[in-house]
Amino acid sequence: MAQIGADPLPNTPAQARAALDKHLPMVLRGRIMEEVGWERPDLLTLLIPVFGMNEIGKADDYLLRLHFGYYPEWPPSAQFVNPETKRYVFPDDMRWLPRIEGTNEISIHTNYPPIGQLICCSVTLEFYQIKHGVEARHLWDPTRQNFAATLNAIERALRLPYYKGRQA
Amino acid sequence: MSEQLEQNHGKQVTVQFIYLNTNEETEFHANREDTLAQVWKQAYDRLGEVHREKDELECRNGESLMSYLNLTLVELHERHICPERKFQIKSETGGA
Repeated sequence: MAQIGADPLPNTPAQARAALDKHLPMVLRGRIMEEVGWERPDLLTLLIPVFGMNEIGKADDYLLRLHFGYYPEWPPSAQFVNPETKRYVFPDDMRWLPRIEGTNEISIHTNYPPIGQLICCSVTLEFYQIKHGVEARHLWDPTRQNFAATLNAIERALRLPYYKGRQA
Repeated sequence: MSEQLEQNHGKQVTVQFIYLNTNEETEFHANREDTLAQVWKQAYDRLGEVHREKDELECRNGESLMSYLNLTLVELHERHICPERKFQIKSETGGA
């Protein structure tokens, strides 16, 4: 169970996989992965296409990688990746990161030492790995949250008025 | 269907809620004269969740409904606010 100031500990691959298998149909809400363009390149990873809608109504495509090695006691790792390489290398892949402004619920850093890219939000693993300050009401709670919370928070940030285009 | 049941049925409309923390969904019949706040409370009960500080109610398109909680479902319909009655419950995150 996530605790303020605690170091996240990985789950066993079998337990993490079981949690992902259990939650995946609920998060998809009756849709199938292929229908919505999701991929599961390995048992603990999802690749999810998302898009940011800019002020002139043009959609910018992004690819979000969620990894579930610490799940469900901790939220999934979340990173935007280059859709070709499925990786993020700073600074070459900065254009594959969205720029988000005007909300105190999420922040995106292109290169946050020592971890690199950081989607700074209380529903991502990295938020806890960097020991970001967190209020009790924001603490990840696996009894009332699954990775839908992560995906929905990120997709919300990709809408107006927060979405400001690509990082580069 | 009895006359009483028919009358009650005519007073009710279908509402849908998604709890964005899990994407769990619930759909039920609500009284048209119920306020949005009352229906929101019913949704928590059906989802087995409790209202937490800073939770917000939105239309499925992301439009905030927090200014309309005292309106009845009929009044929402008349004002063309979230006309399909598909709602979502959002919880606050931290991170900036």
